[in-house]
Amino acid sequence: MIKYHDVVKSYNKKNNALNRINLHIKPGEFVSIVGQSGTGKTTLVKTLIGEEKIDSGKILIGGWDITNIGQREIPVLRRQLGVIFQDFKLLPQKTLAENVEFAMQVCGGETRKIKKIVPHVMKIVGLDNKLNSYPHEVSGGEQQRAAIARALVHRPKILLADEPTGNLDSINANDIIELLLRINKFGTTVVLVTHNREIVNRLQRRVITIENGIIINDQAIGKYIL
Amino acid sequence: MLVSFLRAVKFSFQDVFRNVWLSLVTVIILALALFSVNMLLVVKAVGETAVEAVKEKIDINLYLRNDAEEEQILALKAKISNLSEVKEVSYISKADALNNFKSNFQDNPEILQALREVGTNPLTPSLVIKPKNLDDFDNLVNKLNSFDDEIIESRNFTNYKIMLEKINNITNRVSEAGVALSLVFIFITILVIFNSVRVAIYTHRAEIKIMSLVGASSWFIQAPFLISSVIYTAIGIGFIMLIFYPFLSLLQPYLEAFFVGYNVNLVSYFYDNIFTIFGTQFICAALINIFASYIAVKKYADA
Repeated sequence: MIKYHDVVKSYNKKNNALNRINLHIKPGEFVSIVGQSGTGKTTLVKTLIGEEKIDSGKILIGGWDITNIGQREIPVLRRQLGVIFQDFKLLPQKTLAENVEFAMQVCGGETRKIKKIVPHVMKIVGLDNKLNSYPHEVSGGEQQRAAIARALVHRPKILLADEPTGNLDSINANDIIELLLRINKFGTTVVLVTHNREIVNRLQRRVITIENGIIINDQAIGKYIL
Repeated sequence: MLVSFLRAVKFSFQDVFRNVWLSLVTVIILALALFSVNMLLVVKAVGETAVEAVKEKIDINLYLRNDAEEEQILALKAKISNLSEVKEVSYISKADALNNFKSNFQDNPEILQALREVGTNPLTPSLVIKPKNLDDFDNLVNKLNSFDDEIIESRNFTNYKIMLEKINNITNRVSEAGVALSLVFIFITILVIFNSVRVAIYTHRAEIKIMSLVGASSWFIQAPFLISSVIYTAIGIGFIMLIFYPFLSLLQPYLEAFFVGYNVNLVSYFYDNIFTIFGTQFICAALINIFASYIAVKKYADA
């Protein structure tokens, strides 16, 4: 599903943010990418969504070589990936349902289809009773659920979660992880970028550890080793 | 595609009305630029009317001897009519000249009394010559000067050309000043539109980021800002139409008083050419504004 071949990315001449990364994530996997701040985890996510160009190497997603992806192809790529962030990135003046609808509207989704899909996805993430609530009226966990719903509306094959529990208390964080596991169970590949030791250790899934832009450990059922 | 376009239009309207003060300033500056452009048209129309008015008055008078025979006069008239520079020659007989004189001075009893005291008709017959083209005025004068007919008593070659040149100069100066003023306003409009779009992009930076992340095309992200500039233009044109016609109506009586006897109707001129004048202005202003917005969008919203 995701293949990195000798990927190098640097922001300056002294250090490489990603240093000869080789990685293969299979369809349906749940992979945690761990490492301390500034080790290259977010750069990895950015190269995956076409936000950053790499200096050398090759990146393939589902057989599609996105190494030199053109500006016009980036939207096509991003509709196949769901992305969630630590800060949720919800629009405060829109309700939770409107935030999810917005993602479909801006991609040209038909109104009838939007009206059908959005309540369904909101139900999957457990927000069917908060459709008309605004982000400031709900908890952080619920905001992150709405962000997940927004990421799911395009039925992505891969869900990228960049520190999704960073702003949440442990109860809400666990809820989000449970939700990600449930989504993974439906067949979606989940890539979780985190430095939450407790969550990683509890997951009992594949763990890739990055340090200074290098993969120092890749275990099928791993633990947080740093 | 149609759905996306309609959504882009909807987002544009939302953007224009959410930043209502910014939109208002943008539209006012745009309207000022359009006002100065329309004032140029007014100056041009008034200038043309003034030139036409003077042109109509241009003629050359050949005063003939009192004892000139009718046959000699008509022969001279025919000779002059054959000149290529001449449009028309009118013969004013002694009697016609007297009637014209009386009619011109009917409100001046002293002059009429003096005429009565003379006892006879002191006026001479004359030929009034209208030139075909003002540029040939000098040629015509030279040719008429070369006529050595004994019945010609005197010649009146008032140089209207200088007067016309003066009017043309004034009109051109005013037009040049208008063009300079319009260019300044157009430049300010470009800056204001650029800044309005920049501010709108800044206001919507979160939405733009999200649109980009969820896979909206660059076209869809940028289109609302370009459409907004067209909306500003449409409102600006509507605004200028709303204030310009009353302005012309206020100006009209002064123009009519100035150009007595001439048809100077600016209101009907602007009404008759409404689509040409404001349609052209809309297209030109929209293109300029789209250009300014495009630069702002490329600089600040290239997702």
